[in-house]
Formats: sequence, structure tokens, C-alpha cells
Amino acid sequence: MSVVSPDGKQSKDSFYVKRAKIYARATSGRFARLRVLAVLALLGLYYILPWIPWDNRQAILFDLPARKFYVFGWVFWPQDFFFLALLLIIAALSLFFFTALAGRLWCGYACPQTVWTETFMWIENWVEGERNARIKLDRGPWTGTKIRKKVTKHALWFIFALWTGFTFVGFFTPITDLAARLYPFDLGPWETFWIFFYAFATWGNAGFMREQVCLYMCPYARFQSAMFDKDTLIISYDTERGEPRGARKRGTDLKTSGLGDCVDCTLCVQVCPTGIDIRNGLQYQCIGCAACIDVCDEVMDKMNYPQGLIRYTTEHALLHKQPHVVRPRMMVYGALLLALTIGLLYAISIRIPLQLDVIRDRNALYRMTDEGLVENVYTLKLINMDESPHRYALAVSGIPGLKLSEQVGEISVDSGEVRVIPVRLSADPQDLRTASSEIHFDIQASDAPTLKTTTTGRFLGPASR
Amino acid sequence: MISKVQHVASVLWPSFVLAGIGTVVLSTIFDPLAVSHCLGVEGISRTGSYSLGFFSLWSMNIASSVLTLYFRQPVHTPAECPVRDFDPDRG
Repeated sequence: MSVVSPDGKQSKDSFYVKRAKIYARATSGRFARLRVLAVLALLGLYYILPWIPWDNRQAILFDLPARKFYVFGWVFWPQDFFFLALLLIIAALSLFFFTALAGRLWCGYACPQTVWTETFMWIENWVEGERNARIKLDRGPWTGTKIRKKVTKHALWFIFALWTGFTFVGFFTPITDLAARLYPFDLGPWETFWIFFYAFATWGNAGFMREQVCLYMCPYARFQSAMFDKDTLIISYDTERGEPRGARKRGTDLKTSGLGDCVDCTLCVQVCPTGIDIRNGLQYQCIGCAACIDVCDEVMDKMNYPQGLIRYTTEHALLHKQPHVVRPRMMVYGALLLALTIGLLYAISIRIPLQLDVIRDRNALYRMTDEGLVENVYTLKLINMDESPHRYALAVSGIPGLKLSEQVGEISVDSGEVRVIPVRLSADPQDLRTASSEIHFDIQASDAPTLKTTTTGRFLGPASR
Repeated sequence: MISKVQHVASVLWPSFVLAGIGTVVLSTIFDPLAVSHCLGVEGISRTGSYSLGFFSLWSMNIASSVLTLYFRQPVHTPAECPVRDFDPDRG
């Protein structure tokens, strides 16, 4: 099969279009500074957080071996999955809220892909030089300088990626301990594997994939337009002001030449990390990084034209209509976000770090004792999710005269421990109204009044009436 | 036409994301270490069992994505057969 490639040449046996490598020109200006600030803040958080201690442990630690998740003062268990689900819903809603308000802020400033790509591009820029130098270097033959530059770049990328991978594993294994075992090298096989795996992913995504991650892999990029309306802040080229575009000498009279403000310098295309021309209108490839705004403002300054030929604006503003910040969409997203956030904080604050699971014996439905009582057998699993050990008392209710066949006494459970307690309950068949009655297992810490929970179970017996 | 990277990413990436979500959800219900022991895998750490669980899910998802791509290739167009006057039933 032969296919026509974009450059017009026939390429044999290829089903694929060839990717044109993007050499983004570095920018400086208001939004570039804002992005640098975001990169420093977010990467700072990522690399520093695991080193922060809290009560003789790591403040943020997803301790997989112990199946406990520490977030500052809180300890979460796999059973607390509900909170994670709620947190993810809140994160998704915030994304909706901010997208409707100000477009792709997330993509432009906060997405890990943007943040790490930015850092990798700084390194690339520092080693290989500016856009033109990089294009020349890539097109040129493999000289000693080229080899040196490429090796240096990849070495720096690799070290940075390894550090990233090490930090990643440090969120799951105590990082100070991990660091102590680096030299002499004593890391476990899986720790080593994940450090390299994550480093490889960082290196690949930030070094090579770059904008392709946004274009091919990001689901948000595909559906974010659904959250847009005519009042959403977007980065847009002012066609009315800019067209007809064209090169001109400085000081050319716009009226007599008939030109718009766009000097067609193509710098907005050169700085674009996803390789689009913003002048063609809003495109889903635009990640909202505002690099084109910065560079265009610079050109406008040089030409003595007012800034903002490319700017943050809204569709309504471009059409000279009244913009609205508060609109039904914002209120719905905002109200949901507020309600869920309050709900989550409330749920966490009233969370009782105690869980009781009741499992009925599956072998026998019930048993008649010598005294003529109905007996059911259960296995109780008592989990102390608190940070200190406690003693608990067990009580049962639900059927008149329901009692423990053998007293279990006070149950002491260490912090984070799971106690398995087999219990037998008995009741008089006269008191059973149905074949299956609902009963309650009440557990109460004897040293903390608020630490109590109730789990329901079923008590089976012969239907007497 | 798509690029090769997009083609490969369309298999590897969704399977990776779903494997990640699957690992989180499943591990809140089952302890991966206990599952490993049930399957007769001994001498594995809990981190190892999480990792193996993740990679099993990822490979299953990759297999599913690959099969989806494989089966969506068009293969069959019914042969064209114009209407003729000859009808054997009528003799």
C-alpha cells in the first residue's frame, strides 16, 4: 500500500502520518512568569511533601505494605474508599467549575504533563539552545558537538526523571528510609522497578511525547469544550483588529496601507507547544498556556501598537456583547462543589475510627441447644482504625432475651489491629416472630464514649408463630 | 489517518488508566497479598502483590484493546449479485 505523506511524497508501506516535531520557542512575559511560578510551586510540593514529618512518621504516606494511608493528622483505611471517591468527584467538579469560568487553566498551568514538559524544555533549551539552534542541530550531521549536547541533555533528563521516580516511590514507602538504603544500595526489587518505571514514564512523556499526550491521551482535552459557553475565558486572536494581516515597516500608516494590526511575524505559531496557529480560531489542541499572548504583546510593543491582539477574552466580549461571570452554569457547578466539599469535611470529622464486620456462620442456619434455645454462630471482625489502642465492650440487641452464649468480656485491640472474635448468640424460640430477625451488635470503647458503632446482622430460627 | 504514536497510545493508555482504577478499587475490597496466597504465590511482598495485580489488569486490558482494534478492521463486503431474469424455481 502506498500513502501520500503530508509533505506530498509517496511513502511505501506506511499506514501512518508522520509526526512533525515541534520546536517551541521560549517566551518571557506576564504569563510565562505565572507559569514558572506554577511549575515551581507544584513541583516543589511534589518533591518536598514526602519529606515533611508528622508525629514521628511521614505526613503524606500511602503505606501499601500496611494498607494504611496517612494524610497529615488523618489515617485512612481501604474501608474508607468512600472518601477517596468523594474527593475524586470534588476534583472533577472543580475542574468543571474552573473550565467554565476561565477555560483550560488546568492544562496551561497545573497539569503534571505541562509542568514536567516545561521543566524538560528548560533543560533542553539550556543545553541545545534556542529554537533555531535546536532545529539546526537536529538537521545537521552527527558531529562531536551534537553528540555531546544530546548526551548531556539526556543525562540531565534522566537524572531528573530518576529523582521524580524516587520521589514517587517515596509516597508509598517511607522516603527517609528509602534514601538511607540508596547507598549502599539495598532497595527491594519492586521499589527499584517502580523508580525506574516512573522515571521512564516521566522521561518519555515530558521528553518525547509532549503535546501528543494532550492530543491523543487526554480525555479532558476532548470533552472540555462541553463546559465552555460564550462567557468562558479563552485565548483568542482579535480577527477584527488583526486582519488583513501582513508584513510592514515600522511606522507604516495603517489607514493608507489598509492593513490590520497583525504583522504576520508567525511568532505566535513558533512559541506554541502544540503547534497550532491561534489566528485560525479556537482549537481543541490549544492548551491555554498563553505563550502566544506573551510573544504577541512583545511584538505589539515594538510596533507601538496596543497590547492584546491575542488575549484572554470571551466570545461575547469579541462580539462586543455584555459578558457575564455569574451565570446558571457557574451557580450549579459552584453549589454542587460547595455542598460536596462541606459534606466531605463533615463526613471526615464525624468519622468513627472503628469498624465491626459481622459474618454469619455459613455451615449451619441455627442449632437447638440442650436448654431448648436457638443458637446462631457469628464471626466478628473488629478493626481499630484509631491511632491508639482501645478496649471495647460488646452488646447485642434486637430480640427480647437475646444473649451471648459465652461472655466475651472486654476486647482489647491495638492501633491498626484487626481482632477476629467468634461469638454464639442464643434466644428463646418463643421470642422469635419470624424465621429471620434483625439484630444489632453494639460495640463501645470503654475508654472513649464517642467511640462506638453498631452493625446489623440476622438471627435465624424456626418460625414459631 | 493517525500517527503511529496515537495508534500505540490508544491501546496502551486507556488500558493503563483502567488498570490503575481497577487496582485501587479491587485492593480496597481484597487484600492483594491474600489474593496472591490464594493463588498459591508464596514469598511475595505486599508491594509485589499490588504490582503484579496492576500488571495483570494492565495486560488483560491491553489484550482487550488490541482485540478491539483487530476486530474493527473492515473485512467483509457481500459479493454483488445483480437481479437476473433466470429463476430455477419457475423452471
